[in-house]
Amino acid sequence: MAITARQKKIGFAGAASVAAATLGGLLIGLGALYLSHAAASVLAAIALLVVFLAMLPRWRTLDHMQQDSRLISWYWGGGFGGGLGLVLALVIAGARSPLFAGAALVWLLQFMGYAVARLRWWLAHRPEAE
Amino acid sequence: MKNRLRDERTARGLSQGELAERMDVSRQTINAVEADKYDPSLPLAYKLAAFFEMPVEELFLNPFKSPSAS
Repeated sequence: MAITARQKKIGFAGAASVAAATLGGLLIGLGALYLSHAAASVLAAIALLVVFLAMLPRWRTLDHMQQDSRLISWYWGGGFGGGLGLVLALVIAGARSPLFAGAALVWLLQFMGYAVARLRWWLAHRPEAE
Repeated sequence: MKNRLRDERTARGLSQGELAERMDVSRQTINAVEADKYDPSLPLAYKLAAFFEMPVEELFLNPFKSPSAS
């Protein structure tokens, strides 16, 4: 079956976002190892921004069903996976361990990001008062 | 949502991939809509109806309307 122009666009945007994420992860890791705390923090913030910007074109090329499949998978799969990670960190390392603290922080930030995005969505879709 | 998409597409000699390209969606989306595994968004339903030059309700059967009412 021939590859359509749309599939090519999605593939290219996907490859670009994976490459950006990989490079971003490497930069953050290397920065944390070899740079000062301040420099590594700035580098991590920039890398995060670049990764998200690189992901935008792919998201915009996806059709409604493709976006739906990712949203539902992230909501249930990502939510359950994150919760499971938190429980495992607690079971394996204990409540006072840095591992559990890190897992809890990620879980909390993920939830806060969800809440902010949800609020933004609600505000954007709020109808005018009659 | 039950629909006549497959019939209309094949009547015009189009493959799922060709229709998908014209609608600017993935082939999987056309396949899922045809198989009644996914309800299309309202814009896609209208786009498909406009492409096949028929009212939306002729292409997608209204599940909330009894056949005798039409």
